[in-house]
Amino acid sequence: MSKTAIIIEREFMTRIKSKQFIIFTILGPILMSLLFVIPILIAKYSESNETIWVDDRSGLFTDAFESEKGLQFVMLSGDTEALKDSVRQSDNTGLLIIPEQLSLHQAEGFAYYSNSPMGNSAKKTVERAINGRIEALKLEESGLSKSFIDSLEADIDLNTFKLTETGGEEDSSTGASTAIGFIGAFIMYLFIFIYGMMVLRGVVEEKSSRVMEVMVSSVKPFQLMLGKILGIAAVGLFQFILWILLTLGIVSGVTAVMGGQQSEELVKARVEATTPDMPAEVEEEAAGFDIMKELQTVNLTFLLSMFLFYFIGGYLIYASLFAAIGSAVDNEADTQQILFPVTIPIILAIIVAQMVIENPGSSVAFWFSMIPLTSPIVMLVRLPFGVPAWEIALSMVLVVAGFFGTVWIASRIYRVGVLMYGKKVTLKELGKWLFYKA
Amino acid sequence: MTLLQIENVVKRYQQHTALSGVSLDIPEGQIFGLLGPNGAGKTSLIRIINQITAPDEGRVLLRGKPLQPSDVQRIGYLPEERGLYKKMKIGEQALYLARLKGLSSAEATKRIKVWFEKFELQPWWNKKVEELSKGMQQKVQFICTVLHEPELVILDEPFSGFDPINAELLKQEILAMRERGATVIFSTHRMESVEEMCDHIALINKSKVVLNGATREIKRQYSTNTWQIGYDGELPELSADYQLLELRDKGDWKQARIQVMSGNGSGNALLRAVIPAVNIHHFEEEIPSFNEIFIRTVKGTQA
Repeated sequence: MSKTAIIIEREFMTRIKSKQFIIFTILGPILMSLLFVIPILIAKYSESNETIWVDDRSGLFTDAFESEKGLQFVMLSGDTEALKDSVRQSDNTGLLIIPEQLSLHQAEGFAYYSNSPMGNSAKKTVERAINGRIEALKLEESGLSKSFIDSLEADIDLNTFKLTETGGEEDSSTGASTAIGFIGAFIMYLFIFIYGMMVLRGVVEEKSSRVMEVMVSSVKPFQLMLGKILGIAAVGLFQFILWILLTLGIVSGVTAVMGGQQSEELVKARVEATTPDMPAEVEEEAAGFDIMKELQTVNLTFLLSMFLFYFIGGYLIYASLFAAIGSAVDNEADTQQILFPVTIPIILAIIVAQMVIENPGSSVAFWFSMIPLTSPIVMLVRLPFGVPAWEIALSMVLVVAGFFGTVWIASRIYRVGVLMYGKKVTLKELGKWLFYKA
Repeated sequence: MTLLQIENVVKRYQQHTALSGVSLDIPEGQIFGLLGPNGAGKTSLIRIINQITAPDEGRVLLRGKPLQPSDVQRIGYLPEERGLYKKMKIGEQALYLARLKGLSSAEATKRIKVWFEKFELQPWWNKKVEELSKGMQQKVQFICTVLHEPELVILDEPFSGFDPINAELLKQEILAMRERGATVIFSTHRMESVEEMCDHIALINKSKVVLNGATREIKRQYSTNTWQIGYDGELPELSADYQLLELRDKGDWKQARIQVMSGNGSGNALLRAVIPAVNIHHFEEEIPSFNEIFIRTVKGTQA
């Protein structure tokens, strides 16, 4: 068994046996499932029963308010102060007063009184009802019929097709593409950070506990670094697979319990819940679509293999940089400052990714999906929209080249850094280490 | 028979030269003391032997062949800065380090059991390193150094952190290793352990070897040919070949330190000269301690 393999084995085994790993592996899916399930539960159980008393003094709104689930309208009339007093004494009741003199063209003077602030959805319902009624009244006044106005309204849904190089056309669906790309990029971002930092902490631990000198008298620093990076990558993938399996298990369990009728609701809620950072219109679009059908238009196998490639490539590039930083400092507290230059590209990539969603063909999108430090995130966002084959190939080659480049740089720094103590390291210093003789 | 030849090794760092043309022959089956003040270059030399760093010039031969990466399996190294994985169980830790030195899991486990038995660590097998006392951590570290039965063992300040009982245990193990034919390079500042254990020493100061040889040779070389006599009575008049350095009255007996000044005199002749006049209690040569030799040499090379 090669030494690197022994190191990988240790890095993997000690981590997956740690309490921290076990807790996070179990807790992760539970939290993820909650993210899926809670919105539905909230929708299901949070409906409070509110009653709104409407004192329509103008007499124009008699049929305007329709009671709905959780929101009752009661038409009444009386003295303002007496009504307010009754509101004060009852729960979940509000009072809407519509003024007697109401000009259609300058409708104002509506007042709402309640013990607790008006909920957003109740407010919308009330406003919609009032606006609708006023519009209808205005139409009546102008002599146009409601049905005529309805016939004027258009509602189109743009079907988007992307022309392929072979001359055909593909159904390209932006909603699901955006969601898939962005989710992938975000997971990548988290993965790089969580497991990259794990590599860094591992190296710092070896240095600060002074086990490093014993280690480098048995193995080459490069083997030690590579073993750690690969071992932790295995931990990450393992944890990831467990998370997916457990999450699927829990969610499908919950779905089964809640019955088939709700499962559609679940899917919708899931998409909404997992795309919190998306622009509002995208979210609405995605939620409104027939998601299952749309997913079929995206080549899932291709995307998944690309995801895996960039996932591993991106992790390896950053993990080796994190390892180099870990080797250069004496303890974890010193890492913050020197970590900055490495975290900037990741954060930049996430920012660019959001721009790329808006415009996947722009030159910004192109360049950031070529630079190996940002391409694993940016290219993932672009991919579902369709990217020319040569660009994908070039980007992949650059990721591989970038990996070898960063590993070379990292191993040069690492080999000097691991035995260097008590020195405050600057970037300039690190640059010099690159050219030290072994 | 020479196990390790260090030939003209030079190591430079950015600001200073750690080793300038160091050559040493380390004989097989002996305990070799590598001495020198702090910052003299000992650790740099040890790291080069361990192939942690490479020399800028010169080379190191193990049994006549330049060091190979695979040679790390023939060397055991106990660094001065001790360290183990704090969160790892000591049994697993020893097993891990042994496997990195090329032992199979089964073989390593067998040997670890023997050593843990010997150092009374067996009940602690599943304890993490951080749960152990400092002394016990040191024992684990020492075991990890020698588990793979290296031909060459390099110990940097091996006794630090040991209580007298465990220090004695460790000393016996080091001597036993020599019995088995292993070569030990032993770097320390504690001169009494050099006196007790080393067959050969080299003293490095300011990146150069300033003293190198078998301990007995060096003692002879540094001998001032001074004799100590404990007696009662009156010393006779001595010839010009001798000089009385010091005379102390100890009440019912006296002590004199007499140095032989020329080739005509000797310890035997001195003894013959004084026997008729005084009643002798003891008569012995003043042998310089390594402590004195160390201080004299280091100060001498600084001047």
